[in-house]
Amino acid sequence: MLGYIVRRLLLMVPTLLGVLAVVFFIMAFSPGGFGGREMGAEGQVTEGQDARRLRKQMERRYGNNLPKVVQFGRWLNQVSPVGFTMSGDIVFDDSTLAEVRAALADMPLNTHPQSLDRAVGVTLNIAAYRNENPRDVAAMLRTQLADPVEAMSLFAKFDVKLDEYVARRLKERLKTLSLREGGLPRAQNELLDELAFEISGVSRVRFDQPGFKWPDLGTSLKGRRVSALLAERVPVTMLLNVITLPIIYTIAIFSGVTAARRRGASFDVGIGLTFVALWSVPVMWTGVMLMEYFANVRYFHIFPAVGLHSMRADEMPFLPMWTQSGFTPGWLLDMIWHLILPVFCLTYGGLAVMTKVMRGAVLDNLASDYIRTARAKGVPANQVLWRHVLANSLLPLITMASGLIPSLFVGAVVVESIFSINGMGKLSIEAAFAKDREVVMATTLIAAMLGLGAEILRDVCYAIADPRVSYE
Amino acid sequence: MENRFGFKDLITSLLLVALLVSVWLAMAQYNHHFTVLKSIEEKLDAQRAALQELSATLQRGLTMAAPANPNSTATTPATTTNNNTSTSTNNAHATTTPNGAQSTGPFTGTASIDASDPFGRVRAPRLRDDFAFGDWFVDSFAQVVGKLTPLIATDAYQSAIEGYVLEPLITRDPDTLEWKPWIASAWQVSEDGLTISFDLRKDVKFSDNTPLTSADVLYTYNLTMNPEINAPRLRPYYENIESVETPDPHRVVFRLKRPYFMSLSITGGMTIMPKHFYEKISAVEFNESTGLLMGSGPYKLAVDPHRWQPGSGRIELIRNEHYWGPRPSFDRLVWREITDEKASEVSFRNSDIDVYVVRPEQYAKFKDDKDLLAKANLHEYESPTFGYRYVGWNQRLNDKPTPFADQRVRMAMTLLTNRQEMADQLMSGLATVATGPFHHLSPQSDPNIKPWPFDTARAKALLQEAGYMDRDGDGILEGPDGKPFRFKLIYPAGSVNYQQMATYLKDAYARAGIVLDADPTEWNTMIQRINDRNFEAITLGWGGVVESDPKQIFHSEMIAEGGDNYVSYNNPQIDALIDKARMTVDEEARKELWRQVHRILHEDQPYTFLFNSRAVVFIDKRVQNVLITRTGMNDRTEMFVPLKLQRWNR
Repeated sequence: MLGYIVRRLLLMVPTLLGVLAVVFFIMAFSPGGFGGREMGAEGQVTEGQDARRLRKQMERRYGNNLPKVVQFGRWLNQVSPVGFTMSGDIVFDDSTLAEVRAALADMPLNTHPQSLDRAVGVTLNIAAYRNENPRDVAAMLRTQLADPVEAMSLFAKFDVKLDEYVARRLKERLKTLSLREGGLPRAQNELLDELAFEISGVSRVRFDQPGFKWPDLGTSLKGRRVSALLAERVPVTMLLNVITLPIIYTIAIFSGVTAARRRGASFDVGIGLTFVALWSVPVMWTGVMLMEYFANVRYFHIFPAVGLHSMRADEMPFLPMWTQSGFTPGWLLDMIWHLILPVFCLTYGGLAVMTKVMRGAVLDNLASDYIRTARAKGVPANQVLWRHVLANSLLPLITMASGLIPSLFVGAVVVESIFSINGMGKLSIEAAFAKDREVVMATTLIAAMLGLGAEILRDVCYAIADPRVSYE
Repeated sequence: MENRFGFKDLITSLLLVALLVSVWLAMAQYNHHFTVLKSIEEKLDAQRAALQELSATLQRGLTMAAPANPNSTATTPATTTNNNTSTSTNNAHATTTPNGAQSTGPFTGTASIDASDPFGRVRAPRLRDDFAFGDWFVDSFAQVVGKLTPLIATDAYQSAIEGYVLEPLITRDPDTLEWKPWIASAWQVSEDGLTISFDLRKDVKFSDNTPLTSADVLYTYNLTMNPEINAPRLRPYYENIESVETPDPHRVVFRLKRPYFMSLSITGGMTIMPKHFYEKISAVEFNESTGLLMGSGPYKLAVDPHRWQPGSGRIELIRNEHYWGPRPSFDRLVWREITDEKASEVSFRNSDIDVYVVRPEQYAKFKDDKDLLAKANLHEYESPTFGYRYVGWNQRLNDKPTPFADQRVRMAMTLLTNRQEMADQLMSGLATVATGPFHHLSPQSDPNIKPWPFDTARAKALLQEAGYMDRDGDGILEGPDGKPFRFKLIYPAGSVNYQQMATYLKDAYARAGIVLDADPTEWNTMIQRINDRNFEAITLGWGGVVESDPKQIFHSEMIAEGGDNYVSYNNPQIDALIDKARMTVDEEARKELWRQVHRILHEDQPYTFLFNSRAVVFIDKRVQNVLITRTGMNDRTEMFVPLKLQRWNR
């Protein structure tokens, strides 16, 4: 058994890599590649050079200018717990920092504390990128900066290629400035500014520093940590699913068993028809209709239309309460009240398949020999059904459950959008539209890992639930 | 029976887990209550103090208000102007003149606004009998706001919120578009336009009661220019600033590298961030932060900025008790995130939100909706910031001139475009035909310019003159080189509106025998093609500001070097005028130069300027003093809800 699990776990790795590679390269080779839509709602573009600069910064942050395979490798290295350190993540100890600071402090350009910070930052960046001693770099910087125009070679140290006209303009500006009296520190500052801008976010894989590290899911296009984004969205999706799935299962088990018992009766036919009919109604339509008729002051304003909490939910007591001013539903009831419509939308479509599977399994078991024996022994019909038949009919449900575990995480785009619930579904679809590489890849990674993990779990559960199954 | 884990046990354990979870949640909630109670207690104390202060000022104000009494009777007409606005907007799409009566009507406002007082507009409604403080104003966003931190947040939603928390040195009066003092009580621009100095008011405080000084202005500038801060968008605007000096705590002097007409709006429009708050935060923390929004404005975040997290479904601002100006009327401004259109319509009908923005395609449906009109006023407005839509004609492709290099051809294309009909059909009448890059409400626009008419005959004549005629009788024009006049129009794929425009234009040009092939292009690809100048014609929109700088788009320098003159429009006369206007500090002289630019662009038609869009919103009737200004809707600090209509007060 253990050997089997280990084998399966090892097989997970190539599968996972395959899934990730497919998603990554489909996105990378789609027209336009990775990147963000810098367009307003009206389709306007912001004026000026800003959009170009923004794209350039994007390029540095994600390495979009590198070959696609290298980009994929970098991303894998970033999320893997075993890998190489990126030069941007190298942290120097305080004593080195103090030394560099001291080495640069007396330069005339660093009169302002902020310019000193910047000079120190540039020095450490160079040291990390080039794998050089920070003290040597500080000394080098001092000598290089004596001639700002010559110091433009510093850009090459980062493999940064300035746009031709930017380089030309900078060069002219540095020349005129350094010729002016007292203009040298100004020219040096200008150069450092440009350098600091160009290298902010530039990072290189340091192949000389392999080891264990924390997996990093990266930063989204809008500049938020992907892990923080997930931490914000996953609980909401989990909540919806943790409520929905038991409801689906309970209804499906009961109606499946009952339908099987009264096979061919009106209940069986009725339930079958109703559930299949419900299954074929699109959620998008149901959601809007429910909102129009049951959350609208024009018809029945029974349920709220938006979100998971009322505006004043923060000020509510947790449980329902009668106070001086009357009845307060309380935070819990308020949330349940908000959840009814979305949960209904998520539930009704899943009933048909589950019920049919359950009904089929129960029918199979009802016809089997051991049930006939139990009946012949005189076991009461209800006990036969709910104890013997049910227990044996749950096996197919285990199969289905393994498919549901990743969906706990994935979320439902349509329901979330209609009821303005900020869950995973909306996050992933928005990321896909915006071609937000880090978010799309992170959700793919987690969903794939959950899916593959659930399959292993399923197989193990089989072995436990059914003694006939063995993997030895 | 053997003792094994059965179905019953499963149910029991599930119940047990549910119980434990709810107990834990209850504890968390009660814990939260405790903090809420504590903050209420603190607020009560603060309010008591404020009440005392208020009664004191009321005592003083009573004597002053006596002569102002006639004004309070004049407020009745003010409410009727308000209603007039909403009724006239119902037929407003019928009025077509860009500077017609419809635009002057709404601007009248109240007569009692004191122009010398920066807060005159806020104080004006306070003389009305039904004026009351309190209540909330609830708006909605169609998107999740992920970041509130200034400088690094990029979406329009964030800037709407930021406007209530951070304040600029000077601001434009929404009616006259003149600059008026705000944090700075006075400002001077030197003759040569190279020095701009601001005198700061001494009574301005941040929301934590710390006074605002020139050090904060300097800090804001330094922070924006810090290359490690993720704000590449803003930096180019400040690049013209040579140095910022703070001779004393209430004076700031900006020295500029070269004279530039936008310098005053760039320096004066800088929103001031508190140094003592932001300097404790490192650049990395700042870039990754989500809610670090703190300033001197009338409102502040309802929670500690360090603890603000996105994803709760709404953003709340509460009144800043330490605000240095007059107390704003609403206690709280709330924005709910409502992503579905139906949901926001239903929420508005249910009175959950106070504002409902109507898109052009919904306008026809809602403008006669009795339920909505009974509970809300329909306001229609435009603003120079809305920008314009255009069709750009690329004049050079692969280093060869295209047919559009000929002014007559471009003019013919404009004459073939029935822009009024497009505005009526594609924008539901919510658009004004544009005559140039300047919005007709902007001082840069020459009011005497009338849009080119829809004139197929004249267009055909112009095309013939330029050598385009149907030589082989197939109904398609052929150029001087004998090739059919056929071109591709690129536009953003996936946008229904642009798709409709492309279809409309295709029909319009087909009538004159010109073949347009619609080429919907994915956004990133389009950026690439724009950068490579690899297209024949393009339709897009530009955003706007009150006084915009056309250099980026129409100056010939911007053809190369990655500028935005991607249609390769080259007119030395325009170049000279733009360069001159940019250096001109005198507003009147500059205005005349801009108008010349406008006239030349109108003749040259580097773009076919399509239209400026108008916005339509429903605002709940309980909200009073909603006025339309030259920059759009008036500020929320000027609106209020009469006491008996207040909804969110307990």
